[in-house]
Amino acid sequence: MRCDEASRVIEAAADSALAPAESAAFGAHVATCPSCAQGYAEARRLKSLLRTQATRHAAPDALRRAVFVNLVQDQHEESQHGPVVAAPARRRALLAAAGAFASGVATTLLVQWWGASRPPETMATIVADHLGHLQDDRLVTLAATDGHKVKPWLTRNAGLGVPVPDLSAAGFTLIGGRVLEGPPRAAVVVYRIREHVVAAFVMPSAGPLDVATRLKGINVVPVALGDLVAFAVSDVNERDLRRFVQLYSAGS
Amino acid sequence: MSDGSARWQSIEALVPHLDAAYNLARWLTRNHHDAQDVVQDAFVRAIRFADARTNSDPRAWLLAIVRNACFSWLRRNRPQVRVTELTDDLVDDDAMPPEVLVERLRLTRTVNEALAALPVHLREVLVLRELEDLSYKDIALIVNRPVGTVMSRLARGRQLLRESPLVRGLVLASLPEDDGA
Repeated sequence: MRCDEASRVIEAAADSALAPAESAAFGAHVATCPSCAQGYAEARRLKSLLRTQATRHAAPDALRRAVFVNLVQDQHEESQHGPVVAAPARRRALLAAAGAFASGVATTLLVQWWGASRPPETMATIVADHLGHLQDDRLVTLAATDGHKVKPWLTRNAGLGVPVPDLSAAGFTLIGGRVLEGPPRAAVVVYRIREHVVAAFVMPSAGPLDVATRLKGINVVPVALGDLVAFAVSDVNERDLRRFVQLYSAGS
Repeated sequence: MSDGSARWQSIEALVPHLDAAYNLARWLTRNHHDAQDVVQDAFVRAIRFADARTNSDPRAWLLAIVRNACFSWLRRNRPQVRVTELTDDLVDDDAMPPEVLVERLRLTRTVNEALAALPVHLREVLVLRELEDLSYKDIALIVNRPVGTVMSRLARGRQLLRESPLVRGLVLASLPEDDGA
């Protein structure tokens, strides 16, 4: 590969979107060309800046409720009068009134939705706990690299039997465990990969609707474990965190 | 509501993507009030036309509707003054030492402002790629353009970001090496 060809695919290379043969040729080129290697490093740094620093805006609670109320209202009107497009004024009123909205069908369905969806405070609590422990440098209460020690300790102290698989072959070294008093109360299993800490917050499941999110530069990826749910939390890149989640749930 | 249960299934498929929908609308309108209005509209439309969604991924399908709603909004509202409160959700953090918080805010503000200043067609592909982690193919579906166009817009957007002086400084500064990406 020559420099002009390499410079055309630098962005795709940083996106990990090159075909294997092309990726190999690109790798061979940047290994010997300082100028293209510099361009590639810059592309990756920019990408990392965007991914870790740009704000991913989470839907406000008021919108979450209003979308739902609006959908119920819309269906109700449609069944009575045919399609009606909600006017902005009415939507604004709904937004304001969403919290207090109550009528037969809407209330029932609203309870179903909220019952199935974990309050956003859970994510905030988990991330705040993770950041707090990172900064205090007291990552675990029980320090142990042996899952057979960590698991019974968590069962005793958190009241939950949670998986503590040995994932060292995949690069995730067990450090130990601690308990998040909460609410919600959770057993926290802590691993390290390279210089990053990965914590699995395990708690009873509250339904199917938790989605991966990112708060304050920290990725949170949930995974169902039967009656439990684990939230994997880390500043490591999302790809490694998803790999962790697969391995962790497979090891349960 | 004779089709109630099918509708309910559509709602269940779309609700997990509410954050993605809001994030896209928020970045395209650059205004949180309008982003909320646009997303509400889009959800109502998405559910109403749920039968038209054949095999496509619900997230890409919903984001395409959100995106169209945003562009309709932009056409109607272009002269309005832009509302900026890009870091409002980060300033209430008292768990971090002040110097860490200040540094994090500085980085976040710089990156957010540079991204918000990009032309909307470049901004949207970068938001979909870097914040929503969508493939070129899904982005092409959402913005209704060929994959080649998506790639050249991504390259152009990144080029402009690298040329903005503040971001250029951040890129060149010795940041901790990222492991992935």
